[in-house]
Amino acid sequence: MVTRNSAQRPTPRRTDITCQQVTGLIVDYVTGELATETTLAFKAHLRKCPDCIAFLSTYQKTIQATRFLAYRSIPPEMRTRLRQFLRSRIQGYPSGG
Amino acid sequence: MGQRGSTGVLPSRATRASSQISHEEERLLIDRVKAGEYEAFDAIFRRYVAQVHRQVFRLIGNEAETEEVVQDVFLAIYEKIRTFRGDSAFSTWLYRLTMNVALTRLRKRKRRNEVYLDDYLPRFQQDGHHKVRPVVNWEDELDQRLEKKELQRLLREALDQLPHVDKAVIVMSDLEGLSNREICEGLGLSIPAVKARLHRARLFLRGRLAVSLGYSPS
Repeated sequence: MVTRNSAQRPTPRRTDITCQQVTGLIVDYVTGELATETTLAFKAHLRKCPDCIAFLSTYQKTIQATRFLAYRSIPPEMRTRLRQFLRSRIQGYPSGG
Repeated sequence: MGQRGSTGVLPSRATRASSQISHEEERLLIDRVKAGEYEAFDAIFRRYVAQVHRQVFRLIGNEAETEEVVQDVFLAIYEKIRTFRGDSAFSTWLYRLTMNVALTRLRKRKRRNEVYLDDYLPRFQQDGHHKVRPVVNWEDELDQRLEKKELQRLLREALDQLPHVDKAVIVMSDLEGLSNREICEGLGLSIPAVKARLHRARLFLRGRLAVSLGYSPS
């Protein structure tokens, strides 16, 4: 598998950053971890780049959609089965460790 | 499972189950488990089984395998409880143990639907601009065009196509709500490695969603 570590690119100090650099900085931007100067450069780029605004919006939408992946809590019958299994399995043990 | 650089950082959402018991009560309970007292172990089971199930299910993705992994986690607790020295909160130790057991199970699985992650990551021109322009903002379209069930199926399938550690990172971050620091302690990765994997995983999921709507991942 080919991988790409865009999040590890060096933090730019100039204001004229590229779309590629903006994409690499998003992971820190969404958690407010960018340095002030970099945040200013990031926002300055967004003001003039609808592509990066769209990219950022869809990145954030992806996080939101993932966050709301449904989770069904443990079914009571599974809880009972697990408890019975552990009791029968462990109570024969001499002790833990 | 040893204790690595324990700082007592608590998994923020994962500890809700344990919030009704004081640290002192929990310490006494754990001492009793170490002494081989089954009723104390059963109390630990009752207190933490829902949390362990949630954590395992999110990583494993199906109920049948989840049940087996939860069994393995509680057997591992019983067998390894003496290695818990109390340097960190028990919930932190348990969270790491659960993640290790679940990841071990994932590694034994045959990879299904192998895909190249790069096919779904953004591409750029030499001057740093997006390769495919304009980038479409499908934020509002996603909910309109994909039914909730279809969106969830798509995301689960995409999560299963991630490398196991990347999947663990995004589950811990975006589903469990843990901080990057908590994730790096839980998985034994550096913070930059956690961020890189998290970012790549999100870009991949984003790319899969974009493609499902008929757009370029770029």
